[in-house]
This record gives sequence, structure tokens and C-alpha cells, in this order.
Amino acid sequence: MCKECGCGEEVEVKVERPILDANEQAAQHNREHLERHGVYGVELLGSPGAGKTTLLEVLVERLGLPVAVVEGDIETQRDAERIRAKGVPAFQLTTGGACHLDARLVHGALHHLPLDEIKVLFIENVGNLVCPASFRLGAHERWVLLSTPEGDDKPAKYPKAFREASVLVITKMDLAEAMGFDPQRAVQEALSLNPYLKVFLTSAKTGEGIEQLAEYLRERVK
Amino acid sequence: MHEASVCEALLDLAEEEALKRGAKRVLRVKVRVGKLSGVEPELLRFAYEALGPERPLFKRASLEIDVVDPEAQCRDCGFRWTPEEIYEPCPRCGKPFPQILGGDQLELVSIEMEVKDV
Repeated sequence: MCKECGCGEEVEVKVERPILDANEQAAQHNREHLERHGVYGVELLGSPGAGKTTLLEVLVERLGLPVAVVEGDIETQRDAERIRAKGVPAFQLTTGGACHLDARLVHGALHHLPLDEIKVLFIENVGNLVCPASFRLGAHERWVLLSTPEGDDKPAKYPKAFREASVLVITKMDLAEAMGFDPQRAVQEALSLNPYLKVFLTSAKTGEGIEQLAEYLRERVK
Repeated sequence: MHEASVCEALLDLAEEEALKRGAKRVLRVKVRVGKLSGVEPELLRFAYEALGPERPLFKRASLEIDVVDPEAQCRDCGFRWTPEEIYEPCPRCGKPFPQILGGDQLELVSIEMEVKDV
């Protein structure tokens, strides 16, 4: 104790812990929860309008596996309604302003879905290429979507999203030429950030790449 | 802006660690933020200045941010450097799209605090 004024002793203590440790632990808990039910989790990340819900609409039809979807949005039930229209169970999470989902929110959704009846759970994050990238949800993999109208220079601008993903899905390939989008450039830039990325060039409109993506997922789920 | 959520997580973690060690008040919180962590240091500071004072332990605690650069390595010649921009080509041989390494850190490094008398 300090003799002059009686204040406590000053110390510096080393901590060296990840700031988002609590979320990481909640994500690990979600992963175990999914695995207990034999469910493979896939998170979808991308800008608003990148085509996340549209990709799910075509993919769930092609996949041939029982699936469910957690939809994350700031407001509205719209996306969950679109998915239910396909006969797929969906739970809508609304963050009420927050720009990302976190593991705790997703855990709440898990209890509203028939996990024993499905093989794959898709978790569609809030449309945003920045904030959601920092918060793991407990899915087995994360797919990042980049639509051709967004431009082929986005990976280096939003590095975290591309570094933390296992799959890059380029969407709206039917518009690539009109948008001046060079898939080669986008892919090279993304691979420079993350050499392990698997890349799929897709179009929900023409069906390009959808079967390849479905086959990739079927192999992972086996 | 998710820095507010990150800042809440930081304060929760720092509070837990400080209380565990008998802190009377916290003087300084030191963090490490990689340039590719997705967290903007100035926004984190902004959030901290708003949220820190709401917690009694952190009323007057300052935040020190150590910003960590990523590294780039050329896929052809193997040259390593600290890139200004992560998309820049190799400064030695000109090959584009180097491998980007590190720079993801988002860590609570240490806490300076006043502890209760034993």
C-alpha cells in the first residue's frame, strides 16, 4: 500500500485473452449442440442484396437433404417467409438494430427448429460484409457471398469476411459481363487473403454452379 | 459498426479478470488489434469512451491500443514485407496477389490496476 495517501498498490497483470472469448465459447456450445443432433451447420455471409436468401431458395431444392434455416435480419420476417414458402422450416432472428448475429442469439434459434429431422442448418447472417465476420456462430463452415454487381475489388476491401470463410460463392454470374466483373481478379484477390477458399461461380437465375455447390455440401455432410 | 459490441465484450472480459485479481479500480486497459481484425481502432476508442465510464471499475481507465500490421509474402520469390495495402504486388519481383499473413489479433493484453490492500 502507498504510504502517502493510503491508496492501493498499482499492478499490471497480463491477461492475453481474445476479446471475443465469451462469444467463441458460446459458438463452441452451438457446435456441440448441432453435433449432438447430427446436424451440419453452414453460415452465409454477404452484403445486403448479395443473393443469400435467393441462393438458399435454389440450393434447398437441389440439395435433396432435409434442412432448416435461421434467418438473421435487423427487422422483418420476410426472409423466413420466403424460405417457408419452399416447405423448409425457418426461424427468423431480428436483431432490432444490431448489425450482426452472435452465438448467443443463434443458440436461442436452435431451440425453435426440428434439429432431429434435419441434416443441414443454414444460418443466414445479417446483410453486411463487415461486422458479422468477427462473431463466430458455431457453424461448421462459413460461406461468403460476393455478387457481381458489388465489383471484383471487394475481397481486399473487406478482408476479414474472406479470411474467415471456407467457401466463396460468387453470385449473379449471369450479370458478370454487364457489370464488368472479372471473376479471375476477385478469386485471386480472395485467395491471396485465404488460400484455403473453395470457389463456386453461380447464378440462381441460370442455375450455373448450383449443382456443384450442392454436391460439395452433400460430400461434407456424409 | 460492431465496435460497440466488441467494446462491451472487452469491458466484460477486463472486468472479470480485474475482479478476479482484487482490483479496486482499473487505470489502463491494453489491447492488441490487428489491421485485418475487422475492428477499426478509432471506432473502438470512441465506443470505449462512451461505455467505459458507465462501469464503476473503469471510471477513469484509459485504453491503449497496439495496432498490429499483417505481413505479405510473395508466392514466387518468397520475399516478405509489411504491405501498405494488402493488394499490392511484390516490391521485389512484381508478382501480384501475395500471401497475406497475420494481422487478425483482437486481444486483451493486460490491465493496469490498483488492488485492494491485502
